[in-house]
Amino acid sequence: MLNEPIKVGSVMIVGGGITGMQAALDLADAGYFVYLVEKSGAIGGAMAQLDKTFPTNDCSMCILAPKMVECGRHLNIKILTLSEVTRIIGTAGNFRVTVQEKPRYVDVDRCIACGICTEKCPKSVENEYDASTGKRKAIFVKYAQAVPLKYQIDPESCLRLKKPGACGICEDVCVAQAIRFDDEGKVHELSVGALVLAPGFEAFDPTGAGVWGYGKFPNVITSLQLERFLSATGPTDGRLLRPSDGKPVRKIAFLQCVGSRDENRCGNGYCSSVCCMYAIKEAVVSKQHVPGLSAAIYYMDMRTHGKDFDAYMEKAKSEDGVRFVRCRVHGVEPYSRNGDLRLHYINEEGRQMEELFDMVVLSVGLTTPDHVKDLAEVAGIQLSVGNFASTSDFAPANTSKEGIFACGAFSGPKSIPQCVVEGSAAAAAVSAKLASVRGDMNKVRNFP
Amino acid sequence: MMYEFKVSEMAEEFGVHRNTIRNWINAGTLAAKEGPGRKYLMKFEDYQELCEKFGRKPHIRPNSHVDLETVKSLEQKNSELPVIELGGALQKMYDDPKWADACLTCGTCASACPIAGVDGLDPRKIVRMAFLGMQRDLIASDWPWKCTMCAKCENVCPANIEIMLLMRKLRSLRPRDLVPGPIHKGVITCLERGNNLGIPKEDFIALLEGLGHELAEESCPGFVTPIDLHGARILVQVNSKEPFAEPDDLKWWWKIFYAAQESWTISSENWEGVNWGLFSGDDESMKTVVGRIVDNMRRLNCEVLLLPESGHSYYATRYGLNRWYPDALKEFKICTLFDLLLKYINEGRIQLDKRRHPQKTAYHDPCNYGRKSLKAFGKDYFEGGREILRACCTDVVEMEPNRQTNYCCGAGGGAWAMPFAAERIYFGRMKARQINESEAELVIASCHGCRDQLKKSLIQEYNLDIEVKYLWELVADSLVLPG
Repeated sequence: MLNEPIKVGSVMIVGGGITGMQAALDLADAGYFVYLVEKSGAIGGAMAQLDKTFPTNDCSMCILAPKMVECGRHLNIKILTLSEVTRIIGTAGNFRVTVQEKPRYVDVDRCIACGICTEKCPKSVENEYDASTGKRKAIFVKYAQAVPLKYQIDPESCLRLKKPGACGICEDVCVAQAIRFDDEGKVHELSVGALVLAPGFEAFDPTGAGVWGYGKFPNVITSLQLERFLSATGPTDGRLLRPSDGKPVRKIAFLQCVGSRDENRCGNGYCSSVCCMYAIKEAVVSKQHVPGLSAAIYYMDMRTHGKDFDAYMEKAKSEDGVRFVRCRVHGVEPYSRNGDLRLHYINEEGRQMEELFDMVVLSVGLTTPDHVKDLAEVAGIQLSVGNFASTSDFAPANTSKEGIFACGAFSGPKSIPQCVVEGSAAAAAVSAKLASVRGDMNKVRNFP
Repeated sequence: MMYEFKVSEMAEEFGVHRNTIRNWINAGTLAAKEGPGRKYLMKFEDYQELCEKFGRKPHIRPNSHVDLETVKSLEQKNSELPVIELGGALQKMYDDPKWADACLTCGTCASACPIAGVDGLDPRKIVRMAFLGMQRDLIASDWPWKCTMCAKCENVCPANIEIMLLMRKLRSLRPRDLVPGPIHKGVITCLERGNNLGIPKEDFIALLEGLGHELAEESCPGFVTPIDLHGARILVQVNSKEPFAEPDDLKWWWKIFYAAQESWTISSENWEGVNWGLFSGDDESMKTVVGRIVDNMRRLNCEVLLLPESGHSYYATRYGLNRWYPDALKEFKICTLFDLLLKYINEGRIQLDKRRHPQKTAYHDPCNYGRKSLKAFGKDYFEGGREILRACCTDVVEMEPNRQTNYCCGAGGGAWAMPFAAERIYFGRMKARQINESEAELVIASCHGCRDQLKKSLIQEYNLDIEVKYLWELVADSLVLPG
C-alpha cells in the first residue's frame, strides 16, 4: 500500500441545513472531527423558516432546534459561519480546503446576545429570514433560536461600515464591548479526508416571469412567504393578513408548478418534488388558522410520492375541505383596485371559470443558487440537468469526484424526511472511506 | 395553388423564345391568365403537366407538393402496414415534433384562451387530437378558424408547444373551397388583380390624386400624392380596405409625411398592404404577395420599406422577407410604423400638441406587434407604442394584463372577415372588460383589425363609452403643422 495517500480523520460538511447537520452529527458521533461550514450567520437552513412540516404537521422548529443545539455543543463539530469554500486541492482521503470566513463585526466570544444593539440600531432593511415579508436591523441575529446565538452586522446596510465615522450606536450601547468594526474575517486552511456538500436550494423567484403578477400585486405571495405569515415568529405573529391592506384572508388560492415543469417561463423542466405536499400542508394549516377559510389548489397533477403522503392529501380533501382544481392557471389579474385577485381558468369539463381571491400563493419550485454552482466548480463535480449534483442511483451520495459527496436538495429537490435520510447516507459513505483513520482526529473529553 | 411567372422566365426555363410562350398562352396550350405587373398566373398542376410533357423537373414546388416517387414509396409503405385512424406517425399533423408529444395536458393554454369551451374549442384538446393523428376531424372542424391565432396560449405553454403553428397548419390543410368566408377569395383576387378587393389601377390612381388635392386644400398646401416616384426614400403599401371604404383615413399618414418633409411614394401596382395568405395557411400566396413588395422596392429604387401597418401584414411581410427574400434585405431597409413615428418625434421632424388629448388614453397591444413579433423576430413594440402615446396624450393609463400577456381584441387571425361573428364578439368581452376596468376614454390601436373590432363592434356590443383611434391617426390629430 505504498501509493495510498495518508488519510485524514476529519470531514468537512458544506451547508448547515437539516441535511448537513444530520451528516455532521452522524460523523461526529462515529469518531470523526467535523467542520460544518455555513454561508450565513447561523445554521438551520430553510427548515428554520418553515412553520410546520408534512406529513405530520409537526412544528418545524421543535424538530430542528434540538439538532442545532447538539451541533453547537458537540465536541467534535466546529461550526464555521459566514464561511465559504474557495479552493479544494488534494485527493480522496487527504484534501486541503481553503475556507473564507467573512467578518461578523461582532466578537463571538464576548457577545452575550442581550439584543440591546438591535433595539437601538437605526437602520431597518428587508429580512431574508422572513422571505422579505418583514424587517430586520443592520445588526441582528438571524432568528431567535439561532445557533450560534451571536449577533452579526450586515455590511451592506450598516451606516457605520458604509461611511466611516457615522452612527456607531451599537458600539456605544454594547455592555459586553463585542462590536468590532475593524473585523476583517479569516482565511482557514483545513485538512480533511472527505467533503460532504449539502448547500441546499433557493426558492424560485417568480418576479421576472411576469404572468403571475408577483412583485406587482402585493397579495400575490410565494409559498415561503406564506410560511412566514403562518409562523408565530413571522411578521404578523401567525395571523393570516394580506399584505396590501392587512385585511384577514377569507379565500386563498395556490398555483402549483411555478418555476417547475416549465420550459417556457424559467427553463426548469424538472419537478420540484415537494410543492404538492407543502401546498396541501399550507392549505390545511391556513384553514386551521382561519376557521371558514376557503382554500383551492390549482394543479397539473398532484405528486404525493412518499410515506403517508397520499393519505395526507386524501385527508385534506375529505376532512379538511381543501378544494383541488385540475388546471394550471395562465396568470393572475387584478380585480378592480381593492387588492382582490382574479383567476381565469378552465375546469375539468372544459368550461371557462372565473374566481376572485383575497390572496394568491405561488407554489415556487426549488432551484440551485449561483453560489452553489460556484461551489460545484470549486469542487470540480458535475451537475446534471437543472444544475443539481450529478449522482448515481446505486451510490446516491457519490459525486463525480472521489471523496466528495453530495446530499439533500443539492442533489435534487426533496422533502425533509428524504434529506435526513440522505444526510445519514452521505455520512455512512464517508465513514466507509475513512474507516482506517476513524478516531485519529476526534477529541475526547477527559474527566478527572 | 397558383404559380406566378414572367414570360421571359418561362421562356428561359423551357429554352424557347418569349413569343413561343405567348403563343402557347394564346392557344391555350399553356393555361395561364394575365395577372398584375406583367406577370402571368397558372395553376401549379398545369405547370407540372407542362413540365412533364417536356420532360423537365419543375424548378419550384409549393410546400404541399409531393413528388411522384415519394407518393409511390408512401403508398408502398401503406400497403405493408395496416392503415389505422389513430397513430400519428403517418399523418401530416405529426411532422413537427415541437408540439403534441411534449404536452403535459396541464390546461394552461385553455385557461388563457378567451374562447376555450365555445363549441368544444379547446387548445389542449386540439393538441391532443393532433398527437393522436385525428387530422380528419381537426381539418373538418371550424376550431382553427375561430381561433384568432393570438398566441396567448402558446405564450404560457410550459412545454413550448407551437400551438399557433399547429392552428395555421390545420388551416392550410383544409380544401381551399371550404375555407370559411372571403379569406381565400381575397387571396385569389389579390393574386389575380393585385389587391384583395380588385380595385382597378386607374380608379386607384384617380382616387389617390383626388385625395391629394383635397389634402392640399384642407391643410397641406402644395401636397401632391407621390405615385410611382422613383428614388423616393420610403415605399408605403396601402391596406385595400381604405381606398375601398374609408379613403379619408389615408390622409393621416400623408399629413404626417408632409409635416416631416418625408420623401415617400405609393406604387400604382401591387400596392396591397394586406396579406391574407397568413390567415388561410397559404404560404405560396403569402410569398407571392411579399415578392411583389420586393419588386416594387426594386422597381422604384426606394431605400426603406415601411412594413404594412396592419398587424398580420407586418408579421407576414417580415416573416416572408426573412424566409424567402433574405437577399432583398441586403438591398433595402425595413422599418415599422413605430420606428418611423418615433424617429420623426425624436428628431423633432414633427411637432405634437399633447393638450389635444387630455382624456385617459390606453394603448392596446396588438398580438402581431407584441408577443408574436417577439417570438418570431426577437423584437416587440410594447414600449414604442407607449412612447408615441406619451408624446400625444397627457393621461396615459394601462389595461391589465398588458404587453406580452395582453388579451387579443378578438378579431385576430382574420376573424374580422370570418363568418363567426358570435364567437368574435364573445372573445372580445375580455378586451371590453379590460377597457372598462382601465377607465380609458380613448383607446389607441396600431393595427387595422384591432381598431375595426374595437370601433365597429365592441363599442356597440359592450356599450363602451370610448373613442378609438389608430396610432398614426392620434399622431396626425396631434400634429402642429408649420405656418
